[in-house]
Amino acid sequence: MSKVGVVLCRCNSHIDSTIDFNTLSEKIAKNKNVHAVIKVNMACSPRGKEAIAELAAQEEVDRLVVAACSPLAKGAIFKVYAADFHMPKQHMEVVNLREQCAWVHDSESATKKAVILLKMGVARVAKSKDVGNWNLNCAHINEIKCDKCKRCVEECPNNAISLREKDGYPQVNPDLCQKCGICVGGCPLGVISLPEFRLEEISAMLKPVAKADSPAVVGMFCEFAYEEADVMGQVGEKYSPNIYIIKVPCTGAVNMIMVNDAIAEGLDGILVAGCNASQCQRRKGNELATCRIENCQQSLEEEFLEKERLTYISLGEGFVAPAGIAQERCTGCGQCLEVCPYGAIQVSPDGKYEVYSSACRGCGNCAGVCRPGAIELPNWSDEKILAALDSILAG
Amino acid sequence: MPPKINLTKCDGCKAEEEPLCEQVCPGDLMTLNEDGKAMCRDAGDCWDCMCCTKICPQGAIETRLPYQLGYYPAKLIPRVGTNKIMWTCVDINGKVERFVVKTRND
Repeated sequence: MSKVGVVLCRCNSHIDSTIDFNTLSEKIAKNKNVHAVIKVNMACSPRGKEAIAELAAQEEVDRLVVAACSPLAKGAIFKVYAADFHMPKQHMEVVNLREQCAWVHDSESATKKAVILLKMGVARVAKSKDVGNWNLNCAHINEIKCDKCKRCVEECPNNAISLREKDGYPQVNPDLCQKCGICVGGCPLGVISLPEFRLEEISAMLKPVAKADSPAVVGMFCEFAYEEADVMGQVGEKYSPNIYIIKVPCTGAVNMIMVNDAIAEGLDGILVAGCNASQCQRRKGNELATCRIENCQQSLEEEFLEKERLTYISLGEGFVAPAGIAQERCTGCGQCLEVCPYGAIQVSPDGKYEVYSSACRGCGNCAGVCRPGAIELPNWSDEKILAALDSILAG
Repeated sequence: MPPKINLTKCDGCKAEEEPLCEQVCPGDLMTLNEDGKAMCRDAGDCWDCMCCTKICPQGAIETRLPYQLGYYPAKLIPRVGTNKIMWTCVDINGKVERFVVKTRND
């Protein structure tokens, strides 16, 4: 049995002005995995760190849940804490109580939602595994269960997975793997995991949601959509408290096994949110996700369940301003054509290089490689970046 | 009764030489046809174990129930999760029942 230490951050009363911390700590302390609950004011401050260090130093506590702001805001800091406490980073989970709970719901529903969110976090760390020696930063394939169907080899957008000659099992090239999780989502047996994203963890997180008020909807948001959900909190836009958002690396990482678990668990819906059709930053994650979701929707209808229970919506950054080529400076070297990962650069019949604007996702690879400096991204011009650098150095 | 394959959903496991249904079939009945889609070699030998139905990542295989259990509109559909399977059981009158069966302790 794992012993989880729970840290509730008041965040200068940003969080505890809406959420009733006494009810929250009482309810979460009853959870059988929870060993201790502490309340700190600013978990990200040095004093907060001391308090967390004290909790982590207790012999029984081997996992931590920090309920504070969004993992995209201060989450990275807490992961560093984990390293300082000699704790595997998988054993630390950040629960987003500020952007996606306290700032967007009224007091009563925010407290209810916070309890569920915390339980989800505790369930996740309780299932997490110290990956120890496969702590390489890449996808891991459990070869004991793998049956060499080669789907991961076919679907990986970075060609990071290849078959080992000796025995035919797929192996991951850590230099090419970008941890997008598309292989995790595609594996029919669910044997692939990322260091911080395992099917078992996500399935464990679904259980507390099933006990929430109906309709309970779980959201699988890709990193970019998750950021958008945070923005909703930052601008103070209220939305329904029935959605419990889980961050996934890419919508392509949503395995239908998770969806099956969610439906079997009795959840009312699953909302998968990712980028717009051609704007996936992982190249083809959302195409694969929509494909899998359509298939799953058909099966749902065969089982007399409404297909709307599983829905894909595109949030994300919307339209990205495409790169532009200054024709008078272009020497026609063709470097940009080579590096563009999305095949967005075309040569017109009269020999001009052009950007196909709806395929361009604004990554800037071409701008970096262009020797004559003919390519520029509208929002990321050299002048802007240099001016930003200057102001940082001056400050 | 043999497994029924939805040819639009089946992607032949990306047309690799041994798709998942072929690997799991205990009677070694499943194989790929010329179009790279799954097919059952010998319908008469199938004993309705539903292994292929459960393993298919596309949900393309349906097992038709034997007539002793229920005529055509009756269905038995599995939905496989990490540690549980949800069965949807539809009888010939269209009555739907669902069962969740735990398959692993953890």
